[in-house]
Parts: sequence; structure tokens; C-alpha cells
Amino acid sequence: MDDNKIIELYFARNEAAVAETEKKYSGYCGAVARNILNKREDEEECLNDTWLAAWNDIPPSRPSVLRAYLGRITRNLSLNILRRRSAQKRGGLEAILSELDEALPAADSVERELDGRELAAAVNEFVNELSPQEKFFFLQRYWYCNSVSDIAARSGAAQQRVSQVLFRLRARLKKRLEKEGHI
Amino acid sequence: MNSEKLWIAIGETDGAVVAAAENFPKRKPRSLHILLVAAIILSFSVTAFAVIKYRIGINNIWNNGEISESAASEIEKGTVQVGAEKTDEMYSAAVTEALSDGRNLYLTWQIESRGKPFPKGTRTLIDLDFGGVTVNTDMGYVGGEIETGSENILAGYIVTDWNEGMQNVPAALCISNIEAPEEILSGTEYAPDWAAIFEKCEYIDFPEIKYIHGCGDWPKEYFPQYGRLELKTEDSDCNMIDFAYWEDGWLYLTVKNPKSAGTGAESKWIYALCDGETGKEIDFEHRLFAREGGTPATNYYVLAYRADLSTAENAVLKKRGGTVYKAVTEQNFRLDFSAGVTLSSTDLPCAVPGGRISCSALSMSISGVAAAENEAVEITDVTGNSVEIISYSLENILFETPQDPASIASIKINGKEILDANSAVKRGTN
Repeated sequence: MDDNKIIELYFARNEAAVAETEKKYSGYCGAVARNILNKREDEEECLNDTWLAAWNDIPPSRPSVLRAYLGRITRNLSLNILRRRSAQKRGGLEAILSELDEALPAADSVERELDGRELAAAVNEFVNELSPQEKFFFLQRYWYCNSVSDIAARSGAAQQRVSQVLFRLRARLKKRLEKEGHI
Repeated sequence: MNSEKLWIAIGETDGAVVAAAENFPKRKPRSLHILLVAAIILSFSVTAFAVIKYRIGINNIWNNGEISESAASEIEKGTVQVGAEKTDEMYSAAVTEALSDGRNLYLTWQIESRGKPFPKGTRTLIDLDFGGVTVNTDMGYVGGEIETGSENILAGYIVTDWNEGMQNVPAALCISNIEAPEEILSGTEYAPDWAAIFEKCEYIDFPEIKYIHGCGDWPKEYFPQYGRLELKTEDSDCNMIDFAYWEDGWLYLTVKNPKSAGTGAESKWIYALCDGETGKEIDFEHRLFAREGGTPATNYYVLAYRADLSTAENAVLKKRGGTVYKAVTEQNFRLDFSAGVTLSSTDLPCAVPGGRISCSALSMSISGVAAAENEAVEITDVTGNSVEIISYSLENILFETPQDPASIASIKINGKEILDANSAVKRGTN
């Protein structure tokens, strides 16, 4: 079913909206959750919570890109589940967060810390300035949480190349965030 | 800020951009690109072989203080000037220097504008041709910017795997698609009745507002709704400006979105303050701020514009619509050069029989050492510090910053030491 039609079902408070969303996006959102959670039962919990969150949010929200909107909810819910798993390793996300540490400005180089929305705006601006290929590498790793080998396979690039590109992009992001953090 | 916060922020990337990044984008067909470049070369009128005044070199890639003296000395010995230049009335482009250990090639390039400075955010496409084989950022190399301190000079570097087939053959660095970002403002204008807003508003001293320029402390109180102005956008979004005041050359507006607002770009709305007659943006020193901890009904933004309102009485608000890239110049440059190995490697003693470790200031190659599929390489120098590397391949381990081979004290693969530190370092070639 077309995304606009699915959204109209939400606005009409027709419960078929959830069924249609699940039918169309369980594969996509499941992959996003799997990359982060690595556990089947957590993935299922996450997907159910995603459909519920969408039902509660639409309306009044009207997502312009339903796929990415749902993916973002799944991403954030996955993180919540991981936080509850305090005693357990965070699997793939642990490695990703460790990489992103490199993109963080040094504590003493930033005169003020960006709040959540400013940070999101700064990151969005950074991503928009990347070439299409760089966007693919960056978002595949840090939005979709895919592995370097998976990204290499999908792009045809060597793993070494992927890791080099990501390394450079993290350095550029760090520079941007340091700049944004100054008065 | 921690990495989790950054990861969450990355999650707020514009939905359309995220969706587009699901599949690997294809570049334009290579043959078309070459034809285009060839046509432009024919139309060049090279008036004189101008000497590029400001030269960017290999030593600009790494910040001062990141490299040891001995490593810097190695780099300096191995750096050669390339001198491949092309110039026309407005621009000069050059491949300035090269450095290679036979496994990797570093090149620096620059473009100088003799006329207008390059707009902020200018970017360019770089391709490397090696006798008909092309490498580019899709798969072949990694590129980076170099800060030049001049708005008239763009510079960067590339580092690429460089095998025997690519050495000492005619090569060319192609610079094309020099473009700069331009912001789009929506056609819809909102012309607030500034007088009415100010008349209906009661000036309230919010000391927290003073922190707009720096801190993230926000007032917990809900801003009273004075002088409300409703802005209905073309996508049925409804925003309200319900408080405005003017202080010390800054105009502050609180803008509320009654819909539940996420932090993603699709829910972000920033207004540009524009001259109602010319349409030109009056001020671009504005900031978007958000109130944390609010509910969807109480979320608001405070927009702060630095503007002289007395000259902007007919000012209008236009919604920002994103960014497009437009060509700075239609000129492309093809810079022919050739380069060979300029930096020698040293054989480090290997503790594994039959193994070999070849190391230059740029990279290391390990062969004859059996390793598991996902080998983890850890290298430490004589001070006990980790040597940062950016490679997954044992054949070509590229250092993040150049290293003196003599300073390598330990090399471990999957936790197993392979460097025979007790033997003397043998000098050799790669």
C-alpha cells in the first residue's frame, strides 16, 4: 500500500494502519533493530513498540518519509532496550559508539555543549554536505548500524577503503562539532 | 556530550536523505566525464605559465605537533614537488606535492581564484586517472581538505592504495564540478504586523534569554501568549509567533509549533528575515534554539535575529527550504603528472619464521604470518603509546599519522607478538 494511503488510515484512526505498516515495514525495521539488538525476542518487542509509537504519534505528526520515520523510532526504541540490558554487552552498537567517540570534540575545546536539537541540526547540516557516496558510507554505518564488511559488500569497495572513509568522516564531523560548540 | 547522544542525533537526519542512503549511489559514466574534460581542455587558452604563489604541500596534511621529529624528517625526505599546473584568466590549479612508499600515494592539490573568493562550503570532485584506470572516492581513495587560511585558495589531499601497475605511468588528477551551496527560501512570505506584535506584547524580562548566546539553560515557565501571530504553511503546518522583543540589536521571537515536534529536519522550521522589497535576506546571524523537557504542546523555538529593525519595517519571514549546490565555475582541470616511489621502507625483524614486516613512515606491510580472518592489529611505539592505524589489510596498514619505523616497539596480531624486538633493525628496501 502506498505510504500516503497508510498515513491516511492513521488519520482516520483506522486500525488497519498498523497492519499495513507492519506488512510493509517489518522487514526494514526488523533489520534496523537486528543490527543494534542482536536478539530475536528484543527485536520483536522493539517492532511492536514501533507500531504502537507510530499509532500514538500520527496524527498529529505527518511524516514526509514514512520509512525513515519508522526507522528512527525503531532505532531509538532499540537503544532504550539496550539500556535496560545494563549487565549485558551491547553488541554491534558498542563498536559503533566507540567509533563515534572519535567524532566527539575534546572536552576542553568546547566552550558550551550543544543541546540535543542543536546537535541534531549540526549533524544534519554535516550529512547534507557529504557527497552521495560519503552519505551512503556514513549513514549505513551510523544510522543503519551495518557492519563494515556488509557496507563493503554492498558498495563493492574494499573493507579497508570503507574503514578509511569512515575514519576521515569522523574526523570531519569532529571538526564541525568543535566549530559549532564555540561562541 | 557522549557518543550515545551523538548517535541519537544522527538518527534525526532528514528522512529523505536516510532513504536515499539505502542503496549505493552510482557515479556518472566514466567515459562521459572524460569527454567533457577533453572538450574543456581544447578550449583553454593558456596565456602564460603562471607560478602558483601559495603552495600547499604534504606537510599541511598533518597538524603541527602530531608527528615526531624523526617521522617528520622522513616525510620531508620523501616528499617531491610535482609541479603539474594549469591556469586560465581566473583560476590556477596544481598538483603540488607527492609522497609514496610504493603501497600508498599521497598527493596534495590546490585551486587558486584570482578573482572572487570561493564561497563558503565550496566543494569539488577529484578523480585520479592512471593510464585509463580511474580511482575516485567511490572505491579508490580517501580525500581530505587542507585549511589554507585564504578564501581564494581551495586545497586538499588524497591518499590512495598504489600498486605497481600504477607507478611510473602517466597519471592525471582531474578537478571538476566546483560548486558551492546556496540556500533556498520558500516562495511563501509571512509579513508580520511588527507594530502590532510589539504593541500587544508586554516586555518581560527573561534573564534566561541572555543565555541564548552561550548556555543551554532554558526557562521552565511556559511563555505567555502575547501578540500571537499564526503562520500557516503550505503543508498545513501551523506555527505561531507569540512573543517578540527587541534588545541590544537582537530581535527575539518565540515560535511555537502546536504539532508534536521531533528534532528531525522535516519538523524543523527556521525563518529567514528578508527585505520585503528585494527579497534579500537581511540577517543570517540567527539561531534556532529549542526547549528541552517540554511537551509537544509547550515546545517552542526562540529565534534571535541580529537586525536593525528601523530599516527593516517591511521585513518578511520566509521559510527555509534547504540547500542546492550551484557551479562556481564551469571550468574543469586535468593535471598530468607521473610519480614513483619516493620513500623507502625498512625491514623490521619478524619473530615468525618466514614472515616479513616492511615499514615506512607511512605504512606497514606484513606477509608470511598466518592470521585468522578478522585479524586485530595492535602497534605500540617505544613510549608505550598506541600507533593509530586505519586499515584492515595486513598487506597495507596505513598509519593515521606518519611514524618513524625505528620507533615501533611492538606489533601484535590477535594478541600475539610478531616483532622480534631483540634483533637489530635491518635496513632494506621494499
